[in-house]
Amino acid sequence: MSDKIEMIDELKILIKPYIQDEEAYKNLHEDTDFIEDLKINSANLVDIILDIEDKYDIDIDNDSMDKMLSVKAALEIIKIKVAEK
Amino acid sequence: MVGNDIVDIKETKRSSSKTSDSKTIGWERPGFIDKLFTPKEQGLITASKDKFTTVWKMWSMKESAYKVFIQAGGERFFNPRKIECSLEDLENGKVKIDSLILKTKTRINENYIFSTSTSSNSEIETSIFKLPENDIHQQSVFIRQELIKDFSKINNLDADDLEIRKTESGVPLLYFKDEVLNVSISMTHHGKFGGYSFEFYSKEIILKTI
Repeated sequence: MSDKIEMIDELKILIKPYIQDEEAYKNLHEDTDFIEDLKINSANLVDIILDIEDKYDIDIDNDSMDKMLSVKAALEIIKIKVAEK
Repeated sequence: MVGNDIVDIKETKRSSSKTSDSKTIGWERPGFIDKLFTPKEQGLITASKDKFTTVWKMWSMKESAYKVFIQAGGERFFNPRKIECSLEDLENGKVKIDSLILKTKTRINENYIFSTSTSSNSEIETSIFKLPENDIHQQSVFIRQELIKDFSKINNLDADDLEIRKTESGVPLLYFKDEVLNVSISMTHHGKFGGYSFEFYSKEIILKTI
C-alpha cells in the first residue's frame, strides 16, 4: 500500500475530469470536500467511486459510499477495502 | 420546505460520452445505475421507453429531496439508494428519504429536467432560466440575484435589504435586514441552466419573524 501523499496524488489524477473548481483542486488536501469545495456534480461522484473501484480492484458497498464526501473519507475507505482483499 | 434540482440535458449527454481513453462514463457505464437506483427503480428504468429521461428524472427527484432532508436537519450522506422514487404520472411523484415522504413535481423539455420536492402543501414559486455565465461561481451569483429580485417584487420588499447566506451544512437562508426569514429557498444549476424555488408565504407570515 502506497503512503498517504502518494494516495492523495493518485486520487487527484482520478478526480480531475470531474472537478469544477480549479482553485480548490490546486489546493486539494485531506479535508477537501468533493461537493462543497471541488463542486463535483453528485452524479459524477458515482463515476469517481466506480473509477476508484476499477483502479484498486475493490468493491465499495453502499454503506461505505455513504461517507465518501471528502478526500479523507475516500482514503480511509480505500485503505480498509484494499486491506480486506 | 422546498428543494430543487436541474439536469441540463445537453451537458449530461456530453459528459456521458466516452472520455479520451475511450472509457464510458456516466449513466451508460456498467455499475452506474446499480449504485444510483434501488431494484424497484431499476425496474421502472428497464420498463421505460426513454431510459435516459427516466434515469435523470429520478436523479433530479432524489437530489431535490436530499436538499429538503438537509434543510430539515438531516446529516449529509452519499448513498442515492437510500432515497427511493415512485412515479405517479409524467409530472408528479413521491420520494422517500429516511422518515420523510416528499411530493415531487418534474418539468421536462428539450433543454432540461427540473424537479422540486416539498414537505408541505404550500405553493412553490419557481423560475428556470438560461444562465448568461459559464463560470459556476458567477452562475451562483446570478441565480441568487434573480431569486432576490423576484422575491422582493412579490413580497414588496427592498431588494437591497435581502441577502442569501449559507449555513455550515450548505443550506441557503434568506435574510431581511440581517434577520433570517421563515421561508425555505432552493437554488440549482447545471450546464447552461439554473433556477430557484421558494415556498410562497404570505407577507404576514414572513414579517412575523422579523
